[in-house]
Amino acid sequence: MSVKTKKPRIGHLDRYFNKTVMREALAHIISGLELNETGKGGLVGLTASSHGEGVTTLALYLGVEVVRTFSKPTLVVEANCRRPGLASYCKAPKSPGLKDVVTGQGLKMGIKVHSTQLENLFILPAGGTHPHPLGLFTSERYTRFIQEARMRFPIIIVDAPPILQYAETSAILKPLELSALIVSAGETREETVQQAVYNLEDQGVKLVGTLLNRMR
Amino acid sequence: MDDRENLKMSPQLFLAAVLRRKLLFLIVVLLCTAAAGYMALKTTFSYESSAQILVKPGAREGFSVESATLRGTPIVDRHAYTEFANTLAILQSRDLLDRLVDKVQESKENIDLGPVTKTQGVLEKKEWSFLKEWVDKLLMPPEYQAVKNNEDQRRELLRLILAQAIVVEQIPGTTVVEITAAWKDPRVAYVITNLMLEVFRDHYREFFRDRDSIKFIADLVKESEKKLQAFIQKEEDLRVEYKIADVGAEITQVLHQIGQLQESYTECQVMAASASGRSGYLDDMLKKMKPSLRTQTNTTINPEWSAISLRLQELQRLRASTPRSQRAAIDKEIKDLNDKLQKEPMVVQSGGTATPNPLFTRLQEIKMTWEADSAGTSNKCTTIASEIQALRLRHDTLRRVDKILQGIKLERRLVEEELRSHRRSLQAAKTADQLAQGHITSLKVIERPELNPNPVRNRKPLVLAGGALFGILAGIGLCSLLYRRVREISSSGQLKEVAGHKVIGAVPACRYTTLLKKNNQKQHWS
Repeated sequence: MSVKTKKPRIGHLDRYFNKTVMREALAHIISGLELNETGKGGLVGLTASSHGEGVTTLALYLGVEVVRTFSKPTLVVEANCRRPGLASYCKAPKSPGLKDVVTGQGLKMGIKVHSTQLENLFILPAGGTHPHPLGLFTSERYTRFIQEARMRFPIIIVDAPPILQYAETSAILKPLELSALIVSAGETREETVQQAVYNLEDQGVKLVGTLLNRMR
Repeated sequence: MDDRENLKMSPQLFLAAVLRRKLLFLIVVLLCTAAAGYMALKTTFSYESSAQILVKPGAREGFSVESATLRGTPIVDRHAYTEFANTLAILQSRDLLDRLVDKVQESKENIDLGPVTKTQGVLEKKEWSFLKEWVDKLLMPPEYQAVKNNEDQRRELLRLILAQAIVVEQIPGTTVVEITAAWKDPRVAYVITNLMLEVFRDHYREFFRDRDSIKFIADLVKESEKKLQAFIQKEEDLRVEYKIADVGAEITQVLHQIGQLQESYTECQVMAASASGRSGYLDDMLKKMKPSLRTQTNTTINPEWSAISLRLQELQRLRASTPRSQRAAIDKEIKDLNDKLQKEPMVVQSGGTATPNPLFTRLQEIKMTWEADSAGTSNKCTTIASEIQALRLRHDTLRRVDKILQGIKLERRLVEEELRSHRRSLQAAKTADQLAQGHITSLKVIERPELNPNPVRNRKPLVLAGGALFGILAGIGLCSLLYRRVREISSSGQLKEVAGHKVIGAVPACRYTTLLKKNNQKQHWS
């Protein structure tokens, strides 16, 4: 594991959660997902029906809250190679990322993650776009990456691309222990939600529930 | 779904719904603004040119509107207008517009008032341009196409166009009349105003230039004055003849007297009827009374009556014993005897002296007195009736005279009106005479029309603003409509129902920047 000298600015997020209802909401989600210190069921995938429903942000916030709650190493993985946003969101280097780890381009095999200002919180950005993400995530290397990461981190949160827009989402979520569908309140239509749920279940993803984001 | 239908539209929700569709909202606003901009670009400017005429007050009899409006608008009341109003009436008359139409059509100026002027004067040359004519045919509205082939309709349309383009109005609080022409071409507006001014001056001069009519109108005035004098004399003669100062007052007085006499007559009639009734009553009483009274009399049964009575009894018995067939003779005799018995008195008085009945005498005296009163009352009634008759005759005479006087008064009024009219015409003719000599001073052009290059009624910003406003409203409306029509997830319950899975949690809407501000921290993120 390589440690960067300039860590992504994650730590100060922790301060802001203290005085908001956000923390309670996130704790509720942790409880709902049945995450615990043992790491059982700690491989969580988050997806949405379409872009802009706040999956990346929620994954990061959830990671922060998990670290605060359990003080266990937690990894937030961005698997959205179509429109990556985690690196720029955290002001972290774009590479190495998941794409580099899975393809092994320019790197030896092994997990290269970014530590953050918040202790025990690690992030793995997408590492740029990829022309054929489906091939990337259906490969043996992706499965191996998941297995290796699972051994190192008790809790892993995977930010997956929208299920209704990209084919690789189901491939990303299938190896995970549980998945949740994020729905943006007041934006996502009923029929879209129904279609997304149907797709997830139809493709064998272990969907445990839904998360209502941006609740007013 | 039911939750959504029952959801009340709060301002926050509505604002959020609009903000969520900000792209659509912006597109609608931009489209509407662009459309308004296009309309504003297509809108032509309007240019105005105006002239002002000062009508000097005080010369109320300066000229008559009567002659000025003979060919003009019929709604002008010739007696109600002062000189200033006359000027306005002339300016606003249809006749003046007709003259303006003539002037425009005869004008050597190149005035393009649309398709209606294109067959007259210099403008005919334009029609040699076949291409333009073809374009006109394509672009001209059908009504213009029809009008182009009809001279009368074309003229009427031109008149209407000019009527809309020209505004004649008084400057409030002054006796200045302003003529304003508005057109999309500043030069045309200027030319129209000039022509209008010119036409008005010509019109004004023409109607009052009849100098030869002064003598004729003066003769008419004299004749009317003579007629008026004759009527006055006739009225006076009638008053002298019938010795009437005021017919109406006298008629009223006579009617009052007749009313009073009618009341007296009715009273008198009632009294006479009463006296006659009492006299008849006394007559009946006197008939029943004896004029004299007898003292110490002996009363005996009348022997004759007694004999007849006995015989009747006998015959009654005989009749009862006689067979029915033989009773006829007996019945006849009984009847005769009954008749006799009725005539014969039962008792006979003998002896005593006869004295006059004092009550009878007194009643006779009273009766004579009443009869005398009744005669007096009757005489009085007769007198009153004759007086009423005389007053009625007087009343009829007065009514007749009153009718004659009314007729004379009506004719006199007509003659007076005629005289006033002739006097005004005379004054107008004299004024026209002065005008022709250039001495008229009641009108003065204080501001001649000028070519005004600055457009008026520049409504482009207004149209743009209106378009933008309409766009905003349409955007809000569209967003609202979409909000109502499109079903979106808004609550956990709804999500659970739709997805068929449990809702693990709900994260509140909370911006990262908001979090920063709440904690009063400097933003270090990105």
